[in-house]
Amino acid sequence: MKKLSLLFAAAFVLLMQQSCMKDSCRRTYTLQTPIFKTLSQVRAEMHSTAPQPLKATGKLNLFGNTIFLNETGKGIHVIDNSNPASPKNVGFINIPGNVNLAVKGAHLYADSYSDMVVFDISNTANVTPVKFLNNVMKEKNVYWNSTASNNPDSIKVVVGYNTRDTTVDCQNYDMLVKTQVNCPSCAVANPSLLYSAAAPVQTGVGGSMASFTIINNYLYAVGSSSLYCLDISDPANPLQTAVKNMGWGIETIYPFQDKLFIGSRTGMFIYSLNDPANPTAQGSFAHVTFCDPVIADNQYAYVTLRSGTTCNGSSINELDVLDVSDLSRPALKKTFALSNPYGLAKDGSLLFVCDGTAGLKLYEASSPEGLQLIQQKSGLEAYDVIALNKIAIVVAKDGLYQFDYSNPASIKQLSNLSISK
Amino acid sequence: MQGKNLFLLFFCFAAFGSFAQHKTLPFAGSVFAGATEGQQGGSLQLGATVGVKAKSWTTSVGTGLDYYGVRSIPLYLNVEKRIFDRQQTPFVYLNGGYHFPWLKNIKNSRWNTTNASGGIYYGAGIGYQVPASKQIALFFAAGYSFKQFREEITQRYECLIAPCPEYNEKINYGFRRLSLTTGLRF
Repeated sequence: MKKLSLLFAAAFVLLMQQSCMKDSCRRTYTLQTPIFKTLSQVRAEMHSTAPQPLKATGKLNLFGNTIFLNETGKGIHVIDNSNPASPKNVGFINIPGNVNLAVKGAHLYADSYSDMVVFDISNTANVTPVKFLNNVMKEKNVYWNSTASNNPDSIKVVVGYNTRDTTVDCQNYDMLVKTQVNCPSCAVANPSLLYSAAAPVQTGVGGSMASFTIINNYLYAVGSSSLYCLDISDPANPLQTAVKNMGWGIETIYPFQDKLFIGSRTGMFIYSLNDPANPTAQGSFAHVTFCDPVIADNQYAYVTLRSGTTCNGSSINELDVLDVSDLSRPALKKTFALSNPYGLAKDGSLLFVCDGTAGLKLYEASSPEGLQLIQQKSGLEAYDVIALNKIAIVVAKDGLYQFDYSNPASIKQLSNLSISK
Repeated sequence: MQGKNLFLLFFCFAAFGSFAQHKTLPFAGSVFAGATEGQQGGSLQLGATVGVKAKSWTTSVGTGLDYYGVRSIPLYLNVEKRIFDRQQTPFVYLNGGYHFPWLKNIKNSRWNTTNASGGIYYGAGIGYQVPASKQIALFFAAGYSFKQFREEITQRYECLIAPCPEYNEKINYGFRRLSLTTGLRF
């Protein structure tokens, strides 16, 4: 018995040693190592390739029976939507740094970081670039002027990341994550830079989250602080006609008649297109800082205000209905509470609102100041929507949904092109 | 979450009570309070055990509240050996089991959530008991104990273009501490 006691006592003393009394902390995170290519290589690879599974959804543009769906930072999926009940992923256009897109006729306009690329899409099975415009949207610039020569053969562009799970002691973690890639000429993908598609006949239709839109012979694009106007009367050779400084927090652009409705974090701006080459400010509606796509019809504009860290940390999530009959003085008419709204679309008297995790909401909007919720499709985290010809194309977190709303009281899901995990 | 945890505690005690009514072996139980001391500082611990004894051995199941590092409910099997077969005696103990965090899902903010999960829980130590009455003994114990605690943190970044990026990481803690307790045993 004494031996047993001694054994336990010895074990206890050993356990009391300092090393046994030290808490442990191990942190497991995903380490991302950038993959670089030269700008020349990147451009040589900007063409259509075999279809790739959707890894994420981004902005979209509907042109005839073809959906161009951006995958943020990577490129554009080409989807044959001849049969909305069975859309087919038919190709992928590789465009590093791409967020925005717009289509007119046989040409697709896409950004690649701060550059603009014009693609010939007359044959969607063989999409090829026809023009590269360097550093058009300067606020998104991540590699131009960063080297003395600006030689595309020496500029390095991040085209992806290698990832692997890594486990380290917690105390070493802070030091590790603070280590930056020391490559000043590299274009490092920055989610905050990766913003933003939209518009009528011969042009593709974009969602309300678009920051590219085409009206007649002009392509309008918004960056975080500027409005860019490009003359595309020669579609393969766009010419920049104006750059308008608009302050900060510019996010979305929506064309209506001869106006541009621009959503920003500080409010909604209306620009007149009397001179399409040089839009002029006509009115604004200011509010506190939120993320806010906007759409409009003859008399009303609909703005969703969404809280978020980069859109200020408040918790207001709502739909504002503004009377824009006097464009110089938009007036707030009614506010409707929402959960976490993103994009919206209107078809006749029907208003579609993507309310994030609350799903897709369909309102009867014949009386804009008394919207009536007709249907709510939950089970999807909806971000943006195009409503056309009784088909609602919805970009959601887990894929591209399509709904038939011939009967608004009973909208029917037609398909879901899912994201592959 | 707190309701669930209270239910778990209640369930454990009810099960112990039922177990203790078994007639073949004499009942052994204890209630105790104490402190744990380690790198995280000093913390409170409360607990109870219910079991059976045979000769100088006691086997019991224990539960309680452990505030070290993170508040949690341990559930463990405890084995004790009294050195002498009398009321006043030193003893040694060894226990092991699992502990459940008091809060499992913590939504720190709109953009930051933490899923907590428990882990293994064990301890060993020595003690001394003195009679307080005919059926009850007062005891003091000192020992070493360990509890594992895991967090999975998801941080979302707000953006205009959804889905917004998410960042995930897992943290695995191992809390090692000195445990000092006192209580009554029956």
